[in-house]
Amino acid sequence: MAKRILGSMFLVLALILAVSCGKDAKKAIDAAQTAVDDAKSAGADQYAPDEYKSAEDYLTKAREQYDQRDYKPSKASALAAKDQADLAKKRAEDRKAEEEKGGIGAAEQKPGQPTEAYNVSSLSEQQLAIEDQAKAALTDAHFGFDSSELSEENKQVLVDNSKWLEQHPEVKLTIEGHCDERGSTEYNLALGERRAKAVRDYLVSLGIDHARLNILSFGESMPLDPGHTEDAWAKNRRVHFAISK
Amino acid sequence: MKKISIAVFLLALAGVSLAQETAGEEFIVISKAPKKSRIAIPSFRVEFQSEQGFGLGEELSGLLGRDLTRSGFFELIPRPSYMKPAPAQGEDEDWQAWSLLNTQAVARGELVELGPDQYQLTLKLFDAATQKMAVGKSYKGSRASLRRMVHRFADETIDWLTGKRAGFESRLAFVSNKSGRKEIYVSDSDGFNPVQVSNTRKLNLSPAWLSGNSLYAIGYDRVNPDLYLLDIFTKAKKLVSSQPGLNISPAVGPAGKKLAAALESPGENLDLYIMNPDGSRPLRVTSHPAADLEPTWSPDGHYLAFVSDRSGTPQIYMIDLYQGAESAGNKPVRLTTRGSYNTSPAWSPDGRYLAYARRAGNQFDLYLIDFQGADKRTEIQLTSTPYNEEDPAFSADGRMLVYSSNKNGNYDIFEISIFSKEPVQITDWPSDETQPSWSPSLYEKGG
Repeated sequence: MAKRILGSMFLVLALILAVSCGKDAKKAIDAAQTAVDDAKSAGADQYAPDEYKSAEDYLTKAREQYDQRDYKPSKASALAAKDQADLAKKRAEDRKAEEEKGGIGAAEQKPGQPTEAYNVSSLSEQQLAIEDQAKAALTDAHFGFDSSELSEENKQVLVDNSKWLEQHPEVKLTIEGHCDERGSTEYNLALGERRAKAVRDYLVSLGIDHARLNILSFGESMPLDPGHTEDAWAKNRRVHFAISK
Repeated sequence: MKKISIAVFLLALAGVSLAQETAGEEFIVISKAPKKSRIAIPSFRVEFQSEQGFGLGEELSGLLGRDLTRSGFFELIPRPSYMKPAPAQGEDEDWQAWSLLNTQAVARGELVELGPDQYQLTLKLFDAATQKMAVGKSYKGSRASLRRMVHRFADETIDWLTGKRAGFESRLAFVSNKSGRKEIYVSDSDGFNPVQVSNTRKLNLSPAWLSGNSLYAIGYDRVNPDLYLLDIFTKAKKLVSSQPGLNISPAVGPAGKKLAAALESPGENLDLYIMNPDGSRPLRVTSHPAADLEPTWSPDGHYLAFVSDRSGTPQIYMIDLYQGAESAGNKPVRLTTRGSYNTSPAWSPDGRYLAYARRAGNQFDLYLIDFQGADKRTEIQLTSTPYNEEDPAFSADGRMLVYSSNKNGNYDIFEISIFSKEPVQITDWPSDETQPSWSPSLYEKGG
C-alpha cells in the first residue's frame, strides 16, 4: 500500500517536472518564432540568408523535439534559434543600411563585429556541425553548494543527454566539472572532479560507453557568469558537456 | 625644564625596552602584539648629477619606513614633527631634540650616484638608548637593485631588534586573471615590480616556491591539470606529475628535498603522495575514499596537515609521517572541530602555528591553530570582516601571513602580522589576484 502511494507520488512529481519543463520549452519556442518572424520582416531571408536559414532549422528542430517530449533539448534548440534569428535580423538591417548608402560591403563584416559568433551554416539539420548540435542538445547539470549529488532534475537532463548520445555513437565527450567562486581553489578542483564523475557514472549507468566520456575539472576558474550573486553562483555550479577532439 | 626631564625619563624607559628585546640570542615567540618602537626616518641625503636624485631618495626612505611599519615592530614618527631633521656635517644626532618626540631609533640614508646606473646606498640605524649606531650597511648596485637593498636593510634591522631576520627580501608569487585567463605572476615581496611568468593562455594555479628562482604550479598545458616546475627567469617548464585525473596541491617539504601533492589513486580517489622534487617515485601517504588534498609540511618534516572531506565536509587533519602511510595504527588526527568548511592550511616556519581559512555564514575568515604543547592547542581568530579572507601563506620569518581578500569587490593580495593583526593591502589591480605565497628569503649569508 505504502509503496503504491509512494509510486503515485513519484508519478505526480515526474508529471509536475515534465509539465514545467514543457512550459519552458513552449515559451522558448514561441519567443524563437517571434524572433524569426521579426527577422523575416527585416528582410533577413534576403540580406542574411545563411543566418536566417540556420534560425529556421533550429526552430524546426526545437518543434520536433518538443513533439517527442524532449523538453530540455527542445528549449536549447529554441534558444539557439532565437539567437540566430536576432543575429540574422541585425545583420540584415546593417547590410540594408549599407546598401542604401550605396556601399558595396553588403556581405562584409563590419570591423569590430564579432566574426561567426554563431553557426551560420545553411546546411540541413543533419549536416549542422556536430559541435553546434551537441551545444543545442546537451544541457548542463546543476548542483548545490559543496555538493556533487544529482538532483531528480539533473537525472532527467542526463536521460535526455544520453538519448542524444545514443543517436550519435561517434561522438566523444569531455564532461567538465565547475564550481562557484566560494571556497579554496584546490578544494573546488576536487569538487568539480567529483561532479564530473557523478555525471559520467550516471551516463554509464544509462548505457553510454565509459570510453566515450572523459572527465575534466576546472574548479572555480572558468565561471559562466563572472558575477558575485547567488544567481551567478548557481549558474556556475555546473557540469558542462564539450565534444572531445 | 620639567617637560624635558619627563621626556628623558621616557627615553630611559624606551631604551630599556629596546635593549631587552635585543638581549637574547634566540627569537622568542611573542604571543602578544610586540610593543612598537618609535622610529624617525628623515629624508635621505642624495649626491646626484641628475635631477631624479631627490625623488629616488624619497622613494627609498619611504620604502624603509613602510617595511619597518609592516613588520609590526616599529611605529613611524611623521616627518613634519621632526625638529632637527638633518644634523650638520660631522655633527652627531641631536638626541635631546629626538627625545622630545619619544624617539627610540633614527634611521638615516645616503644615496650616491657613482656612475651610469651605478649607485651606493648607505643605511644606518641609531639606537636612542645607547645613542650609537646599531646597524650600518653600505650597498652598491644598479637602479633596479635599490629597493632590494632597502628590503635587506629592513631585514637586518629586525634581526638586530629580535634576533631573527624578517622576510622583506623575498619574492611574492600569485595567480591573476588580468589577461583573461589565470596565469602566475611574481613580484617583490611588497607587490612591486610584477612580472607574468606563465603564458599558456590556459589555466595556471597554485604556485609553490621551491627556491627563490623556481616554483611548482598546476598547468592545463596538456588539457589535464598537471604539475610543473617553472623557472621564473628562463620561464623553462618541466613536467613533474601527469597522472590521469587531478595532479594538484604542490607543497614543498623541508629544505626542498621532497614534494607532497594530491594525485588520483587507482579508483579515481584523490590521496596525498610524497615524491622526489622531480616527481619521481611517488609514495602514497593517505588512503581514504574521500578526497585528501592541500597538504602543508611541519617544518621538521614530521607531519603533514591537509584537507579531507572524509567527515562529509572539508576539515583539516594531520598525519604523522614518522609512522608511515595511513593505516589502522596511523589514523590522521582531525584538527578543526568547529565550522563546516575549513581549508587552505599553512604551517608556520617555526612550527608553532597552522593558519587556515574557515567559512562562517557566507564569509571566510583566517584562523590560527596555536600548538602550545604536546596536547595543548588553542585557536586564534585573525580576521573578522563581512568579506572573504582566504589562501593564507606565511612569510619566511613566520611573523606575517599573505592572503587574498575580496574587500574591494574583486580579489586583491593583503598581508597581516599575526601579532598586530593589522591588514595591509599589497596589490590593487582591477582583476582577481589569489593564491599568494612568499618565497624563502633571497638573502644568503656570506653572499
